[in-house]
Amino acid sequence: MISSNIKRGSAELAVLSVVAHRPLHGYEIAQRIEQQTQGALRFTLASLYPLLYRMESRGWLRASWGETSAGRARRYYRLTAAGRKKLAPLREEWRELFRALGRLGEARHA
Amino acid sequence: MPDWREKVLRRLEGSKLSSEEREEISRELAGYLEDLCAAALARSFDDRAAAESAAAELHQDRHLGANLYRARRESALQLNDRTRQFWLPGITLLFAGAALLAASQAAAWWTYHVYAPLPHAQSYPDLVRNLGRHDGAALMVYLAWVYTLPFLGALRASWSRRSGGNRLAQLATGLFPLLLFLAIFVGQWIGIERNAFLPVLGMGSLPPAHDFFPFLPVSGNLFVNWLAIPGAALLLGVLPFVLKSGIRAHDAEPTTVA
Repeated sequence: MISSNIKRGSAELAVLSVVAHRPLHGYEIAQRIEQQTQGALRFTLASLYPLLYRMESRGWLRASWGETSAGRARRYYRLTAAGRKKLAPLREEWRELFRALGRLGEARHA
Repeated sequence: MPDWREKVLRRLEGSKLSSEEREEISRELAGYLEDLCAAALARSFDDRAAAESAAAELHQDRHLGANLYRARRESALQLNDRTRQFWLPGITLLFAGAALLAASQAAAWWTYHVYAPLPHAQSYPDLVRNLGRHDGAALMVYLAWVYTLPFLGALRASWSRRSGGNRLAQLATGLFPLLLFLAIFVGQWIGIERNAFLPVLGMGSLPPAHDFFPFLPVSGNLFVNWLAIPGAALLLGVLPFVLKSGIRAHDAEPTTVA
């Protein structure tokens, strides 16, 4: 189980990654993240929306109202140019963190 | 299915959100809760259990309204990356550099005024004109100013680096004053072409096209005095940071880890 601190830190990366492919509404974002991380990251309404609004305020996401295939109104989030620019270094930082942790593990077993 | 919009509106009562914000947020969150409820029904929950599981999420955090309020206002408090890494250190330290130049000019004026009065140098604005007639004084002010540039360049690059700026941001921030120097160079060149003196406000000013290098034409002196030497001095201060960032390109702190 991943600790809550790491989850909080990885939340921005998770959201940016899933909306990079196409615009998604809040519930879809939460679902995608849960499915793609096989349940390791799970958002609730209280953790997802403050994060989405914060990322929108920072200019990483842009939201607009649209309709689902069933005709229901939902607010869709899409990645902005600033968000796309943020995504690559964020991914690299996390890769580096996991590589560093991996090296730590290897050193213990050596 | 419950009226989720009404429930969300009630949940947001007492928060600082404006009525328009509450309206939009309740629409959006109601959509989320509808989807959550529908997913629970699809997993064979009955109506009541599905509604209860969705309502549990709505009531999970008693600070929901305050958190949403803060999140929507974060942009007003948080500067974007470009501002933090480029504009803020660039402009702040540009003013610091201008203050240093003005202070060195004032010191030179005071020194000459007290110990070797210059004709007509009765006030600070007279200084620029009078320094122009005295190579030694002009050179003294000029060199004092040039010596500060590597430190100011290094400070800018360091500030940008600490704000998370990459190598390009550090280089651009460190060399930021060159934009102003270029404007001064062009302004003074035009001034000389028209045989007029253009005072450079705010920056303090050096005598236009001072003939530090007699073998160069006036425009050449201007170029060397305002662009080549200051540029090299700034670069001297910036390069160690940029090169260090290159070596430690993968050493950035993972800022998103709380």
